[in-house]
Amino acid sequence: MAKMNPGYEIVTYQPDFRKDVVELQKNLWSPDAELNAAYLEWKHERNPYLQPPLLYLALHGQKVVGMRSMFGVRWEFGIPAKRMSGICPDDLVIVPEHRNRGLITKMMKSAFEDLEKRGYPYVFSLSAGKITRLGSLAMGWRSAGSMQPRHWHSRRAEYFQRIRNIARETRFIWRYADKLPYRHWGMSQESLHGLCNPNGMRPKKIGSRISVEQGPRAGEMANLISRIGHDGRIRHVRDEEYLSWRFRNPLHRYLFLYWEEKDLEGYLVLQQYVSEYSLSKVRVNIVDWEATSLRVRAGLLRAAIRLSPFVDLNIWTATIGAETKNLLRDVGFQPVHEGVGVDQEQPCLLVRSVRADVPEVEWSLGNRRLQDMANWDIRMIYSMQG
Amino acid sequence: MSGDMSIRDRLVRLLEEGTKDSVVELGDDTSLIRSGLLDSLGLFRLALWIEKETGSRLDLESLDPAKEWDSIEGILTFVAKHLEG
Repeated sequence: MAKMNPGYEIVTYQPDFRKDVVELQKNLWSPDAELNAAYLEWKHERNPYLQPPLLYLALHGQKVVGMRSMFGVRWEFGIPAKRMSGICPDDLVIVPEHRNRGLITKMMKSAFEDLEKRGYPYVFSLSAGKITRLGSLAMGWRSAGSMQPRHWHSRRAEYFQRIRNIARETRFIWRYADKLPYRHWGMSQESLHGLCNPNGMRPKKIGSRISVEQGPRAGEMANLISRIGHDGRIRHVRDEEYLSWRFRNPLHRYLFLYWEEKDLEGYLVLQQYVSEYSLSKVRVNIVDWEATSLRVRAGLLRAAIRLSPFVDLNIWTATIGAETKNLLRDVGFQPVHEGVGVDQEQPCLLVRSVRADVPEVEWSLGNRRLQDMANWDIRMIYSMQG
Repeated sequence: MSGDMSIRDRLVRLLEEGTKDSVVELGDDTSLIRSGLLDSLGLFRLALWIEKETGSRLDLESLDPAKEWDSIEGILTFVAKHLEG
């Protein structure tokens, strides 16, 4: 048998480890310890569904050298809806000098034993990267399929980038190439919030119906979701408590488009990354989108494109309806190249029974098989990518 | 040169490079995955190697690495099956 490197101990997080975890996360979240501390506080210490925080730490001596965090979620499924608290294993980090020593396996084995004692039947992962995904499959996780990302590429941003490149190579003009007013063309990775009213006092309006704001109207959004109803597929509970918490992620920035008539008739949430480690800030995700009609839905989408013509918009489409997919296609969203193979960075939904002895055919919530994407209603806000 | 090596030699070399911090002697039936010997990154490199050797992309929806790749013997069988297919 392989020898597990001795000297490691797996423990659960206690507040005494806070400083070590924040430091460890400089390998993953951001190089900024203050930002990491804020993220830890938001994601774990203020998570509405899992208290106290549940993080499995690998200690070598007294030093924290690895971590797998779990965050709490609350799923609803069926008609009438049943609700269930769940667990999503998320951030995984091992300091470089302790990698390839079986620590991930050891942490996850400890985690599964502990989660079984705590009574959790399943775990869910919505943000595994290509390396973690393969490691998870090796530990008995199964993929329900790709999130089917689609992408709206800003031709205008590409056009201005081309102008700048040409200017840089042109005699006499090259020295001015970087002084052209790109900031106004969105080329400087400007904050999404710059698109809103800069003094934040008054919401920006698009037409007579759409307001653009920096904060969530959690109560109104929850009422709208409740009014629209639920088809019984597995989804996250999006009540006021969840929405109030969810959009406080300090590693992300959000912008909200609201369609108002007598009541709120729809909303669309844009998200941008803040951390230096994150993907390009020119990339913006549509992380949630609700509307009472296709007309409102289309209006919100067109407003989002009009509002941010210099960014690349992304959305997960695996579980949205045909009408909405057609709408996305009509405004120019294209499927992100869907290849097979291990090197494809393809977001997917992974599930696993906490107990290893439960046959895969029995993995279900309310008779809905977990490995079947058709049983899910997935939005990017359920994942920490969004 | 890698071209002169057998597929088994190339696999063993890859695994030895990926597990150089371990004190385990790699045998045909040494558990690679269930034992935790191969970490996520090692597994990822192995998967890339398999794709290169077989010239085909892996279908992750149906892949069960712990079952199919837990030993050198298992990996070679997997590769042979994909080369035939």
